[in-house]
Amino acid sequence: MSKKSMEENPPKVNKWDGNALKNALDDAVKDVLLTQFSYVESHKLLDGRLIISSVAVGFSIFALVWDWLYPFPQSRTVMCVCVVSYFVMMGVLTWYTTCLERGIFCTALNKDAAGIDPDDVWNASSSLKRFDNKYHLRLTQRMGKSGKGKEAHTTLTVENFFDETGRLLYGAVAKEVLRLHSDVENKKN
Amino acid sequence: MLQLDFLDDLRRMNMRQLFYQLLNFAMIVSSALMIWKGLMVVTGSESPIVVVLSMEPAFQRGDLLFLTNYEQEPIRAGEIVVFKVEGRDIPIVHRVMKVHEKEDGSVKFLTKGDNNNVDDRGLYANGQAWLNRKDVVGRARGYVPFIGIVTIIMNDYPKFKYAVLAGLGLFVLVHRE
Repeated sequence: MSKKSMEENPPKVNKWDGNALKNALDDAVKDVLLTQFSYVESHKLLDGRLIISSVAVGFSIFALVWDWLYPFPQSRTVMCVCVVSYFVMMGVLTWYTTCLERGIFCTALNKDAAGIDPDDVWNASSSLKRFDNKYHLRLTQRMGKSGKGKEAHTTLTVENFFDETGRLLYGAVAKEVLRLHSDVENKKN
Repeated sequence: MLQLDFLDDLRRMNMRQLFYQLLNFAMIVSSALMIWKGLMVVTGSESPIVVVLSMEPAFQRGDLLFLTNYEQEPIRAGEIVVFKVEGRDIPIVHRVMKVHEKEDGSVKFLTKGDNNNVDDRGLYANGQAWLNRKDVVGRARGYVPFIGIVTIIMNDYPKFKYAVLAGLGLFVLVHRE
């Protein structure tokens, strides 16, 4: 599957679909962070979500199979345990998405060239309210060595980053991201 | 014209995101399944919601019944029970006509549909004249009128059911959160 880079072939979305717009902008920001700087993407956040979901689905499949092998009245206790565990996992997932993830769609690591010092962690998070056109982008940097954090955010008007057909204007997004990035880097702690 | 634009989102996803789409679909199915199993545990019945086919005038065809099946509650004449005849899958919703109860608590009872002229002995298994406690799926506790028509239509026209389910499934798989 040969993928043209996003810069050469920016995605075209339904410009009236707020969700699609946000996803396209998120993807573009992520692409800029990973290609313009030599950062490496960290999948830990998404992996956590995948694991929690998989465990929940695992309980559900187990309940399905068990009930099929040992029809209802006997399977009562196992059913009870599975159902409760499933909804507990759903609760964990909700907590994970609300408290831990908080709109972060990209975690990029600035690896130390010598490989000795711990990495700097860059987090990009965004939000776009329903029926709104203001895309809020927040970039944070946590220094590996000192543990200190810096952040900067900006609000973009969605119309400025898509043309009339709904194609993403990659250049405009890149400009904003680079500006935000140097804002964060230059901030004195 | 058939450009399959809606698949574009999928094409642009990496392995992790594709896996998450699959999990999303699985979680929706699982939630429905877990709610059903949860209802089974709470009510004690193996089929806590059934669609009525023939109990006029008490219930119309297509009403949805909620059942409970608690062991301690005795079966009394006049109550509406849902039972399954051994060897057959379809639960039947009829009224209890006669009850014979022994001292040790075991019961034998006879049922008849309100809309039928004869009792259910013709429906029971060969040689069976009475129903036992274990044939009972549950007793009617409450009902929601009319909604069961959807289930009846889906069972009468299975192609429609598969089309709806496939469409919903596809939508969830392709649509990005």
